Amino acid sequence: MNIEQAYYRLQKISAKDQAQLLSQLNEKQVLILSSQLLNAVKILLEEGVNHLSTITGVYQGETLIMLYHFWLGEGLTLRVIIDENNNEVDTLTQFIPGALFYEREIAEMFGITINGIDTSNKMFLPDNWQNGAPMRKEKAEIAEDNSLEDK
Amino acid sequence: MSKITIPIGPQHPLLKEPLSFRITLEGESVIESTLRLGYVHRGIEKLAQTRTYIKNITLFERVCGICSHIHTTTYCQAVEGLLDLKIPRRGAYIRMLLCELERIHSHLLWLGVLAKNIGLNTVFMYAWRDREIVLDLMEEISGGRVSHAINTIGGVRKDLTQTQIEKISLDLPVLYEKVRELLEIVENDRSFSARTRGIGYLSPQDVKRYCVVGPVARASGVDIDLRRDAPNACYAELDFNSVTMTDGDVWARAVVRIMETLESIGLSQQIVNKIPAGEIAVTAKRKVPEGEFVSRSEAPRGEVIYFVKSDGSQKPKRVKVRTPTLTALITLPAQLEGLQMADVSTVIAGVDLCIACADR
Repeated sequence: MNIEQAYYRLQKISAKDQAQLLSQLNEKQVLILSSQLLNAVKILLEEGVNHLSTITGVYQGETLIMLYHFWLGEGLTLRVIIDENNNEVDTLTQFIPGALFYEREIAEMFGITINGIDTSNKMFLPDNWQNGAPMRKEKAEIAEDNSLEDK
Repeated sequence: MSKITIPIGPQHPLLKEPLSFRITLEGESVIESTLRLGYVHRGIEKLAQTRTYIKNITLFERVCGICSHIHTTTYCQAVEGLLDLKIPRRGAYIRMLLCELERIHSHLLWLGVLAKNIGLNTVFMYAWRDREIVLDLMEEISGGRVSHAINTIGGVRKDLTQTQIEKISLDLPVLYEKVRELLEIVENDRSFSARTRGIGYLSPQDVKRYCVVGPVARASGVDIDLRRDAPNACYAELDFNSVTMTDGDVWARAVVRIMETLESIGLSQQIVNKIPAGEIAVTAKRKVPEGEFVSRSEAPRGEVIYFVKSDGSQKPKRVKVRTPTLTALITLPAQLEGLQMADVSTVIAGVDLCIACADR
């Protein structure tokens, strides 16, 4: 029951062929496809890693990645690749009810469908919000952002 | 019996910050509750992407109006981690000192709010009166009572003088005695017990399932304290206990927080006794190397986590903030279920909500 063991077991389901989507991080990380998320969480829970600190949405190039930050004495991050075409991921609330607010936030801010939770009412954005997902970067916006940076 | 739905908030005398509850009652018992956030959502995470690393310190100081220092500390730790900077020990000690003073201030503020919500106005007055001592100390050190603006990437901006150290050493024992009196009231007062014992119970299993952190988790017997479990700054050099109880109700949360306040007073005393001489800050580069960093700290309400992603420029590519209040909020529907309407205010105050934190 420890994070080393969980990390070792998670390696078996990691998406090794997508290694270009990894980024240097100060704690253990495992890159997986969104279809493997529930399997990965089951492995973590079996090994006693039950504290989900938060879920972060981040762009790696133009691919949206969701980072599930787990913690048990040290950090372990699941890097979940979101497929651009179906743009959805399963909820963890059946295993970790505490994930609900993080998932609702990410669904609103990044416009992702989280299968299994009710997102019909807004949680953070105004009820009459019309401008889509504020944190989502469309391709044009990514290009524009790069041009604005301090060189 | 017919059901009735009562809205509490977004503007309500019970709440200090805007948050919306919809509480469904059957008779006097709560059968369901839902909540909605976002009334003070300021888009800080998005805004942070447009500002330089150094300007973002000012921004993150304003995530929370109570525990502002821990936010900048955690953010600076993340950026320093990306820069591979080691801050001078004196700087780290000054940071820790303010973290602990802030914990004292936050817990006393909370005790006042809880006492007011359950109708004990005397305790409210006492707690806030005693809180002035620590606010004055923080003003003496940093110039600000709540927003300190003392952190910078690479250390702190203001040194601690000998006069300040003497004042801190003189005032802390006074505060210790006053907090001891408050602990006595909370532990022994009949009215306080009657209103808080057995209310808002969370089992250790619930705490783990909902990923709750901080004093709420410790009051249910789940011993997590990042100052000990993932020590940053120089916490490993100091001697302190993490307070836990097993009752899991609002009363236990009050006792845990006040005993933690006493621990923090002891910690602050140790810090000023042990503070090493030397520099307070090192110079940091403006451009931060590419990479990602997860930084965790123990805020007054529990684990706060910052994720910073850099692409090698002067501005962060992404900053994610998760504040401890969000973990406490999610347990509220479970805590409220089956309670009497009159106890709702106790439970809402009992988890120590900071809505500005939760919304960001």
